Formats: sequence, C-alpha cells, structure tokens
Amino acid sequence: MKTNKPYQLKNTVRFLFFAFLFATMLLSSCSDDDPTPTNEEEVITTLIVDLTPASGSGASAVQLKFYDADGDGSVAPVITPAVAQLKKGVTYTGVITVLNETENPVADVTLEIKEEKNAHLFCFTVSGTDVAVAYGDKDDNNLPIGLSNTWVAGASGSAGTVQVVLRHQPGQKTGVCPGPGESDMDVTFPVQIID
Amino acid sequence: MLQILRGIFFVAILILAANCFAQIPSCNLSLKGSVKDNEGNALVGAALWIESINLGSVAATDGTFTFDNLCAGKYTISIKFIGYKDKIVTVDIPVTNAIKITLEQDFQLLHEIVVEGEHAQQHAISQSISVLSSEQLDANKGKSLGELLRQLPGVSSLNTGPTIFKPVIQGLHSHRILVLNNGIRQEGQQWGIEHAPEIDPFIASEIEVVKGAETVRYGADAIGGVILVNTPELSYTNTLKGELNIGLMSNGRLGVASAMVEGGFKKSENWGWRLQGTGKKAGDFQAPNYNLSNTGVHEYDFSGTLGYKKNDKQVEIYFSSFNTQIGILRSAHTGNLNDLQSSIENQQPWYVADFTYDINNPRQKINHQLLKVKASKEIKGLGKLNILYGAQYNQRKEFDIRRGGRSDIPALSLDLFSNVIDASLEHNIKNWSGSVGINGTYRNNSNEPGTGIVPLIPDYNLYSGGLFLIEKLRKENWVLELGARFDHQYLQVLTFNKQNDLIKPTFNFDYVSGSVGTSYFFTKQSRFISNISISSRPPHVSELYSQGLHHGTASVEEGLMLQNGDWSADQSLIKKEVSKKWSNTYQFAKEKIGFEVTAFVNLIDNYIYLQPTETRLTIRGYFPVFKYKQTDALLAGGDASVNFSITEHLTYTGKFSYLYARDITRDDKLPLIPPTQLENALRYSFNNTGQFQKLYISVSIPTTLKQYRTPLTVYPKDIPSYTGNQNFDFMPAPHAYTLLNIEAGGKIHIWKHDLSITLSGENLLNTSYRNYMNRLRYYADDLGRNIMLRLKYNFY
Repeated sequence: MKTNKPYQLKNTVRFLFFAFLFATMLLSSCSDDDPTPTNEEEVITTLIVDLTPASGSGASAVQLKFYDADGDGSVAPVITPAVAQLKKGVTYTGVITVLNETENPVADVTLEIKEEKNAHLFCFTVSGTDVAVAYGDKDDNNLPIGLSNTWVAGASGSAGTVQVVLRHQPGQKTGVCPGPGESDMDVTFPVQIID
Repeated sequence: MLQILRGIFFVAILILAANCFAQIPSCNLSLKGSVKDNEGNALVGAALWIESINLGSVAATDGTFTFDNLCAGKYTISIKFIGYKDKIVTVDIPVTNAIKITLEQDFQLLHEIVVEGEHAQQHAISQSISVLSSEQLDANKGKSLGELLRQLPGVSSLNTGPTIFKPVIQGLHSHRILVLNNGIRQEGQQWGIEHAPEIDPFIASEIEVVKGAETVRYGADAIGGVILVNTPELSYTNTLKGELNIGLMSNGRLGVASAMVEGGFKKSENWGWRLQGTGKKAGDFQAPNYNLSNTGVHEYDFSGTLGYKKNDKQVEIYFSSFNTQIGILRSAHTGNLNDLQSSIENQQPWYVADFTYDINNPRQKINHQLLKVKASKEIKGLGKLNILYGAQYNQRKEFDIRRGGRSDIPALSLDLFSNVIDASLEHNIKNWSGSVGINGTYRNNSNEPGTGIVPLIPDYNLYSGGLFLIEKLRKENWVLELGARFDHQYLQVLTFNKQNDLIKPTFNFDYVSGSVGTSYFFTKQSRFISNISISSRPPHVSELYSQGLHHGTASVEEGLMLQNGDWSADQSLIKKEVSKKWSNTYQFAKEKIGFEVTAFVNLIDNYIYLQPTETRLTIRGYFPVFKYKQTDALLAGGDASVNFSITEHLTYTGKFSYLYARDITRDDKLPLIPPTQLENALRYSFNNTGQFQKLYISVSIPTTLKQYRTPLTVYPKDIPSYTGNQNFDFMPAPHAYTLLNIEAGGKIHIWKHDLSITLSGENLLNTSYRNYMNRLRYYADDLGRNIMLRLKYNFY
C-alpha cells in the first residue's frame, strides 16, 4: 500500500500539469485567430443643416456643417462656416442631414432617426441673436421631430449662436425640450443676421 | 472548447477515482464522534490528531468527525480548537458508539487564536486581518460580496447603485486587490469601476480580509490586500446533511433562497461531496423619496465539490457557476456633459417609474464558471505538497441604450479564459516553517465581434510565472516572517492602430516582491504585529490600452500607450508600480474588553490612475478626457475596533477608519478615497430559554463623515472653459450622514433541528443621503429603509 502512494501523487501531478499544458495550448491556438477591426456603427461624424431661403427673398442658401472625422477621438472637429450669415427678415426652410462618414459607403444616419422618429427630438436653442426656429414635421404621436424646420431671421443685426441638440428618448418622448433621455448630438453654430 | 476541457477533466477524474479504489485497506475500522462545548454547541473546525499514526481530522458543521482505516488498538487523540482548552482522550478501537468530546472554553483567547489557528491560515500571520464569521455572514445573507465586506474596519466599497459593490481595502481596489474564491485566484474583469467580483457569498462559511500586500504569496494582484472567501471543509461522513437559507428584503422586494446538501458515499468513507445552489431576484430598489428605476438584479449560482481523502493525501474537485443580470439606474446613462449637469442640478433622477422586476438597458450580464482541482499529500521528510489547478471562464456583456435597433446587441462583450496552476511545498523544521512554491497563469481575453463599438479594452494573451519562498521562525513570544517572490509576465496585446491595421505589441515584465513581518506577544492577551512589504505590479491592459467614452461619467478614458491619437511603441512610457507599505497593529483581548488598532503608511511609486488631461469637443458636445498616468502617491491611515462587555448581557462595539491620500508628485488630492467612517453598536444577548437559544437584539449607528480631501470641483457646465490639469470632480462631496440599523435574532429548536431567524432593519429612519463612494451619487440618493427577514434551517 505504501509504495502505491507516490504513484498516486505522481498521477495527480501529471494530470494537473498536462491539463494545464493542454488547456493552454488549446487556448493559444484559438487566440491565433486575429481579431478583425470593429466597424463603429453608431458614430456620427457629420451634422448638416441646409437652409434654403424663401424664393424671391434675394438671400442665398446657407449650409451649416459640423464635421468630426473620428467621433470621440482626438482629431478636432471642423465647423463651417465660421459664422453663418442669415438675411434680415428672411424665412429659411431647414433640412437636417446626419451622416457617419467613417463607413464606406457613407451611412445616412438620418434614415435611422426617421425610422425611430417617435424616440428622437431635435432641440434648438438660440442665444444672442434674433432667430426663431420652428418645427416642420411630426411623428406618429403628433409630436415634433425637427429634421425639417424653418428658421426666421429677425430684424436686428445681432450675432449669437444656435445650438442644435438631438435628444434620444426611447419610450419617453413628450415633445418638450430637453425632456428626458440623453443627447446623441450637441452642436453649436455661430450665427449672425446681416442686412 | 469549454466542453472539451470539461470532458477531459471528467475522464481524468474517473481515472483518478479508479486508482483510488484499487487500494485495499489492511485495517478498515473507523471511529466516529462529535466535538461540542459545555452548552452543546458544535465546534465546527475543531482539529483532532492521532499522533501515533500521524492522522488528523476536522469537526464538520455539526461538530462530527470520523477517522477511517484504523487498525484495532489503543489510540490517543488530541483535540484542539481556537478559544478552547486542549484535550486528550484515549480510545480503544473498535468502539461501537460515536464518542462525545466536550471542550472547555479558554479565555486566554488571543494567544490561542494565533498559535492554533496558524496552521490553517493561508495568509501571513504578521498581517492585519479582519474576519467575517459565519454568524455575521448569516445575518447579512442576500447581500453581494462587496457589500458584506463593508462591515469590516478599513474595508469600504466603491459602488454603482445598490447592487454593484467593488471592495476597497485601505484605499486600494480593482486590480490592486485579489479575491481568492475557495483558494483560487478569481480571474474576472476587475478593471472597470462598475465591475464587481463574480462570487456568490453563500458559498462561504467565513470571509477573511488581509489588509496588506500579500504579493509574495499570491502575486501582483495582491498589492492592496486579499479577500479570502473560504468554503467549509467537506465532512467526509456518510450522513446526509444540509442547510436551507431564505432571505427577504423590503427594499427592491428582494427574495433569495440558497440550499446546500452534503454527505459521503455508502461503503466508502474516504469520499465527501457537497452541492449548493442560490437563486436571487430583486426589482427596482428605492431611495427614501423615489424608485431607483432599473436597478434590479437576477442571479442564479450553483457549485459542487467532490473530495477524496485517505491518510495523508487528499484530492478535491470544485465547480462553481455564477450567473447574474444587473440593471443600472436608467437615469445614470448620459449622452454628454449637459445631461450630467442637469442631473446634478435637478437633484433627483429624471426617470422614475413604478416598481418592476424587469431589467432593461443599461444592464450587465455576467457569467463566471470555475473548475478547480486541488491535491495535497504529505511527503515524509519533505513536508506537505499542495497542487492547485483552476480553469475559469468569464463572460461579460454590457448592454447600452442604442440607436437603430441595436439595443439587444451588447455594447461590450468580453470573454476571459484563464488557467492557473499553483504548486507549493510546506515544510516544518524545528522552529522554522514555511512554504516554497511556483505558479503559472495563462489568460486569454477576447472581444466578441459584432458589437459595432470599438472595444474599451483590446484582446490580449498573458503568460506569467512566479516563484516564491516564505519562512516563519517561531519562538515562545514572537514570530518572524520573511518572504520573497519573483515573477515574469509576458503580455501580447492585439489591437488596431489609427489606420485600422492590426498591431501586436508585446511586453515582458520582471518584478520582485518581498516582505518582513513580526508578531510579538507582550502577554498572552496582547500582541503587536508589524509588517513591511515592498511589492510591485505591472500595469494592467486596461491601463495601457483603454480607449472610449464612459456614459456613466460622461468622460473619455484613454490608456498610457496612447500618444498623439495613436498607440505608441515606446515602452519607456510605462513604469512598474511599486508599493512600500508599513503596517502596525496592536491587539488586546481579555474577558471583558478587546480592541485592535492598526496604523499604516503606503508609499506607491508610479501609481497609475486616471488624470484629466484635456477637454475635447465632439459632435456630442464637450467631454473631459481622462488618461491613465503615473505619479507617486501616499496613502496613510488607521483602523480601530473595540468591544466591551458592559454587563454579562450587554456588549458595546465600536469601529473607526481613517484614510489620507495624496498625489505627491503633482501635489494634488486623489479621487475616490473613502471618507472617515465610524460605527457604534450595542448588543443585548438574552439567556437561553428552552426552545429559544442565542436570542439577541442589536442597535448600530454607522456614521460616514464628509470627505473634505476631495479634488477640485468643476461642474460639467464649466468643463469647456476648464484649462487646468488638476484632478477634479463634477460635484462637491456629499454631506456626512448617520443611519440607524436594528437587528434581532435567535435560534428555535424545531423538528429536532435548529432554525435561525434574523429580523433586521437598515436605514430605519429613511434618511436621504448620498455616498461619496457611490458612482450614482451624481444622479440619485442612496437606499432608503430596508427591512429584512432571514431564515436558516440546518438538517442532518
């Protein structure tokens, strides 16, 4: 009986050692499958507000654009134009386009927002300038969305900013800004009213 | 793959088992009995030893013990148990009935604890240690591991809402703390602030916390301390025994049930087994004034142990499965700094709904499987050889609120597979005892593809090997302990550079640790413990290669290796984190009074933590960028606890912990340092009357002071204009708070067995408060009143 014991132990040791080796080799071979780069599906790189003046106003179209090539990364975003110029007293029809330009071909995030219109709301906050932004579209619950809108440039020649925020409010939208939920976009454009 | 592994193990187990059966014992008599105290309470864990044949046994949960394979004859058995006087009995084998052994209490507790308990201890004796006894565990069943541990002085927690608790030992947490799950290093995802240890506390009969570096014994993860979750020893008897636990909590409408059965096999008394399972369900928890919507938890865990023991060798196989789904407060998910600002201004969560058990996004789904094989054997003239192998598979999925129907796709999906093997040889020569050991680890972390989000931490392979030596010199009044360890780690990271090309940077880290400690007895009632340790730790992958936006704190987090927007290959950027800790403890214990005071100072060179570096404008608005950076830090403080028997029935207990922390290099305050805490408690124990035993009522009043040493406050709205590089926090530290907790309990003898009942209430005055160490303090108040009922029934 006594002579048996070391064998017993040896077996155990051997078993554990080989189990470890085997498992390690198995796993090492698994890890040879290199990972593939992740396609960032939810990144938004671009917000465009195309403002078309009412016909016969004599004003020219304005495009507000916020472009950030790398999402949360360290590349600084580009905002154009430096100061958007709207003509005094003119009503502009606004259309918002949202893009993910990290994908090839470029993904049109506007479609996703349209699809989930009952969960999304654009909020416009004007400060320092005389611009009135109104909603031009409604969701299934008769609440505003904001992809289509109108911008009315007031009388004074003031300069300020218009902040465009996209609120994501799944199941909680009330149509009031900012309301519940979280911000998927939050961009501020410098705007000036000219004669 | 796991199935293949499992298959291999079971085949191997069968082979082992067959081997064991092949031995035919020449003497097959057995001796059964029980060890109890004067009052008839089972002395669980009492050690029995037959010197003449070098055979030992331990009393099981009901106090019973068995010696097998004895030949006929006279045997002298010595019985030892902490806090009781030694006893020697002589028996003539064979005996027909089970023998009864009664031990007398010994009030010179302390000396006994140290000397007798030493053998069983898995950790250094020259360290400051706190223990949660099975009684304390019983009174808190249903809570998570991290929440339980907060009762110990010097231990606090960093939590995310009412269900996610990360233990913090003297200011250190995450990968600076090691959790030993039934003797094996827990290999989970501990890098995140909302990653709690994946362990069901119901498996434990006792939890110990070592409040000092134990890197020599366990490796780099133990730089800040070790949490030992100890399971009870298998009973190796043929009697079927079990335990049933039920817990109900008013807050969260939590229900938890846990059952355990154990026994042996007929005919053979070398085998022992145990099966255990837990189910837990809670819905939304409540703050005093509102529901904390989406904070529920659904959990089911089970474990099984099979052991074989014969003479001087033992093999044990343990499997455990931990599966949980945890909701994260809906209102704590922010899109940007403006959202965070309005949460702070509103002082209450923006989303409060009716109570529900449903868990929605954001949520976490965690599965952790563990397989452990442990073998030990006494080798004549050499000592005891222990071998431990463990395989662990950890899956973590985090679900976020996403656009475009992607909410069912995890935003983070990590698989961590690890393999650990430890071998150690314990020896005992005259006054010297110690152990020498080697240890190997392999870890493979991979991100499951298809999340549509760049992973927060990359894939990696890690191999590490360590070698250690611990020696203990024991004299009449003092013990000296010395230890040294060397480790090598090879790390291969698989990530993508800016051009989306795969890169595979590799790292080789060598690191050494050492410690010297002593324990000196002034009298049998008082001793002084002092320990100096130097321990080093290579940086964790998350500290090197993190990258991404954290929705809970509206901030971008980046790793050390990120330089100018891309991964740098310059390894001189990283330095080893080295902790130099000196800890001193004085303990005193007499019949009526006992106290313990610990003071420590911990100097950490190249301490890694997240520091604010810049403010970044993105399409979501502004975000602060935090980067893992290294600096020299100082942590110093003290813990104290006292208990005093005012009368025979009335006992006072007091606890206190204080911590001071500073970034020395940058002369700044460190974030998330636990504030000063104290607790006063009174307990009244009633005399045992007939059916009712161990009746008690206790009142405790824990107080948490305000953390005054916080980093600068910069509100989210001021972040865009903040240009400093000082550490900051988004809001000032919450005010001090005091809570009222009452607990009453006892045992009733029903159906021949004991039913333990505990009724307790926490935060009985329904005080509204916020906790500095709770990440959700930006969004909501902490828990309101909670009434709990716990039942435990033992049968055998």
